[in-house]
Amino acid sequence: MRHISFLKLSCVLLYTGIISVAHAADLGSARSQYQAGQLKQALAETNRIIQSQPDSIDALFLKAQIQSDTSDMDAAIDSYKAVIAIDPGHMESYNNLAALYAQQGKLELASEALENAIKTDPVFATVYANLRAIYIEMSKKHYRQALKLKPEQRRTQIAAIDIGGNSEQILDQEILLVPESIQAAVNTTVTAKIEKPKPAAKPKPRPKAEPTPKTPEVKTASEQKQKPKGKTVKKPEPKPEAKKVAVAEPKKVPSKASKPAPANPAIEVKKALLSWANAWSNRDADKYIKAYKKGYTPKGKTAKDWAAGRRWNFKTKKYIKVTLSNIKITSKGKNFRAKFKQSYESNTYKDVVNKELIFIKQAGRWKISKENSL
Amino acid sequence: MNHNLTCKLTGMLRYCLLVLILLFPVQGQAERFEPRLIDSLNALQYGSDDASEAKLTSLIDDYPNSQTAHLLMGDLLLARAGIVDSSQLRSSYREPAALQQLDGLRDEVRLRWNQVATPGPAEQGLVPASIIQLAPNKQTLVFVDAANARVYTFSNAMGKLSLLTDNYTSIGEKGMHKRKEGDERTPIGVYHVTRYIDERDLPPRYGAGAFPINYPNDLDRHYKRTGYGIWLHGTHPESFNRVPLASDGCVAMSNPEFEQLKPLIKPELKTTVVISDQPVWVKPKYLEVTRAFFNQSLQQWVKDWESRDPARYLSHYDKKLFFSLDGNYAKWAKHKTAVNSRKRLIDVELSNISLFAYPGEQDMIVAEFTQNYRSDNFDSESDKRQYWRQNANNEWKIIFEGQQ
Repeated sequence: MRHISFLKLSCVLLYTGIISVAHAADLGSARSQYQAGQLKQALAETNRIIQSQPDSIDALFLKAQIQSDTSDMDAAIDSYKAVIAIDPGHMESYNNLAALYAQQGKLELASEALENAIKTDPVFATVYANLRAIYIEMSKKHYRQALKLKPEQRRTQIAAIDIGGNSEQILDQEILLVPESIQAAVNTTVTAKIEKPKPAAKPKPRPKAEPTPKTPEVKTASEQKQKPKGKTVKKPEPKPEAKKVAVAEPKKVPSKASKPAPANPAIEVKKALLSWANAWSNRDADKYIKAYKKGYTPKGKTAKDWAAGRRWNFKTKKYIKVTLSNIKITSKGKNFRAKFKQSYESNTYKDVVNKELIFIKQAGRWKISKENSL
Repeated sequence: MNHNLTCKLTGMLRYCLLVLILLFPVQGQAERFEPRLIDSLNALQYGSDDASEAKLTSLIDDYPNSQTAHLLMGDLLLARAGIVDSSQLRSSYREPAALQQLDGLRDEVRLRWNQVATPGPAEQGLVPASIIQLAPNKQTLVFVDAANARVYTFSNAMGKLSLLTDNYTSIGEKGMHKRKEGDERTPIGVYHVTRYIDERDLPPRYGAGAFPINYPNDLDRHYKRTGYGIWLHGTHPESFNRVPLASDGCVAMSNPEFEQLKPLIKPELKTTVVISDQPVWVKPKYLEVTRAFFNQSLQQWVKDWESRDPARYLSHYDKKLFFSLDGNYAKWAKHKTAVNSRKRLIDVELSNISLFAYPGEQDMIVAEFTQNYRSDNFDSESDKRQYWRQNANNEWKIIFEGQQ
C-alpha cells in the first residue's frame, strides 16, 4: 500500500527569503516554535498573524500543519481549504488535504483533491493525462489478449506540449474509436497539443530551475507488509488502511496562482467530434442526434424524417463500429471544419469515406451544421 | 511367494521414481503457474502495485498464452489510470462471448485464490470423506472437486492416501450433475479411467492428451442418464487454461498439469476418478469407523451367501430398489435361490475392496472388490461392484450388483 506523502521542504531559507520582511519575522518565530515542537505557542503565534493578515497563505498553511500535527484533522482540513479559497492553484494544500482525507478513510475525497492538485499545473496535468492514456492503452492490449481478440493495429499518440506558444490550431493525431474497447467507456485518449500559458510580461523560469522537492517521500512497504493468515483472507482486494502521514511545508511562496489553461476551442470541437462518433458506435440515437444543430436538415429531408430514419437505422443494427483517423480541425471564421477518414462497419455494411463536418456554436456547445462526404 | 515379492519390489521402485519426478521438476521448466499467479495477487494486497506488476510481467513472459495473467495485468494498469470500477468495462465489450469470457476469468481468479491463498485441506493432511477405503491395487486416485474447480491426485500406500498433485481445472459450461446428452454438464459420481488417447490422435482442442472415463456407469444408466465422451484432458495450445465453466462436461486442465497427471493414471488398472459436487474433508482416522462397519457388512453378506440359506442371503438386498443387469429383485431372488439351493458348498473370498460414499447421493456407498467364488461344481474370479443404500429402518441394503 502506498503512502500519500506530504510535500516537504528542506530549504526553509529559500522560503523565508522570499516573503516580506515584517511579516516574516512573526511567521519565522511561529515556524521555529513549530519546528521545536512547541505546537501550542506556534498555533497562538500563527493565529495572531492570521488575525492581522487573514489572507496570509503562509500563515494559514502553517496553521494547517500544526493542526494536523495535533491530530486536529477537521480543523486542519478547514485550514487547507482556506488556503485553496485564496489560491485555487495551491498544489501543496490539495496534496496535504488528500493525505488527511486518506487518513480518515475518505478515499473519494482524497482522490478528488489529488486530481485538483494535478490540475493546478497545466503541464503536469497533460503529462499525467498522457500517462493515464498510456496505461489505458497498455491495459487494452492485455485485455485483448485475455479475450483472445486480434491485436489492434494502432499507433498511440499522446498530447505534445508546445513551449513556443505557437497558436496553430491543427490537431493531427490518429484517433481510433473502437466501441468494444475501454476507450469508449472512459474516453481518456483524447489528446491535444496544448500550449503553455503565455507569460504575462516576463517569462517565468522553467519549473526545472526551482529547487522543488517534488519526489514524494515514500515509506518502505515492509512496515505494512502482512502475511495472509487463516481462511478469512478471501479476496485479493487491497484494504483501505489508515495512511501514515508526514507534515508538509510549501515549496515556495505562491507568486501567482497557475490556473489551468483556457479552454481551447479546437479541443472542444474535437471532443464534440469524438462524442458524435462514439454515440454512433454505441447506437445511442439521442446523443447522436443531439450532436447536430437544432433543426438540422440534410438535403431533401425534413428534420423529423431524418431523425426518425437515423433512429430506425440504429435500432436495426446489431453493432456499429465507427473509427476516425487523420483528423484535421481548422478554424473557419467563428466555426470549425473537421476533416477525417471515417471507417464504418456494421453487421450489414462496411465502408471507408473521407468526410467533412462543419461545427458551429449553438447555446454554448459545438454542434454539427453540415456533413459532407468528400 | 517369490513372484509376489518381486511384484511388490517393482511396485515400490515405481512409486519411489514417481515421487522423485514429482518432487524435482524438470530442469529449465518454468516454475509452476498457479503459485506465481497467487504470488502476484499477494504482492498487490500486501506489497505494492509495482511488485505485483513485476511478478505479472515475468509470469506473462513465461506463460504468454495465459488469459488470466493478461486480465490481471490489464486490471492493474487500469487501476493506475484511475479506473478501479471494471463495470465501466462491461459496457464497452458488448459481444456476449467477450463478457462471458471476462466473467469466467474473474471467477477463475476468485476460485484459484480461495483454494490456494491458504493451505488447502489436502495440504493439511485431510482426505475426502467419500474415499472410505481404497484397494491396495489402486496405486493412485483422481479426486475432482467440481464445485471449486480443483483436481487432486493421491497416492495409495496400503490404504493410506497422500496428496500428489493439487491443480486448477475447468468443468462443464453449465456446471455439474450431468443428466442427458448435450447438457454440457460434468457428471458427479464414482468413475474410472477406461483408456488413454494420445494427443497425436486428437484434435488440438484437447491439448496434451485424454483419459476417457466410464460415464454413464450402472447407476447413471439406471437413472436413465444419457451422453458419453466424458474425458479428463488438456487445453488447446493457444490458451494456458480454460475458464472454470468451459467444457462440454469434461474435466479440462492445463497441458503442463495434464502432463503431470499422465504418469499417475493407469487405464489398465482402471484408476478411480471420484467427481464430487460438495466435498467434505476429514482426518483419515474419522473414516475408520465407517470403514470397519462396511467391511463387516460385506463379510456378513459373504457369510450369509456361504450359508446357502436363500433367506439369509437375500436379506441383504433391497426388495423395492434393487436392480441389476439381469433384472429386478424378483428375478434376482428366483435365480439366486435356484442356483444356491443346488450347491453343497459355497466359498467366497473378497479382496481389493474399495469403498466410496457416493457423491451427489444421500446415504449411498459403492463397494468395488475382487470376488473369488468356489463351489462344488463351479469356480470364478470376477471384479464386482455393489451399491448399498440405507433404508427407512437405517439398514444398509444392496440396491445394485454387477460386474465392474
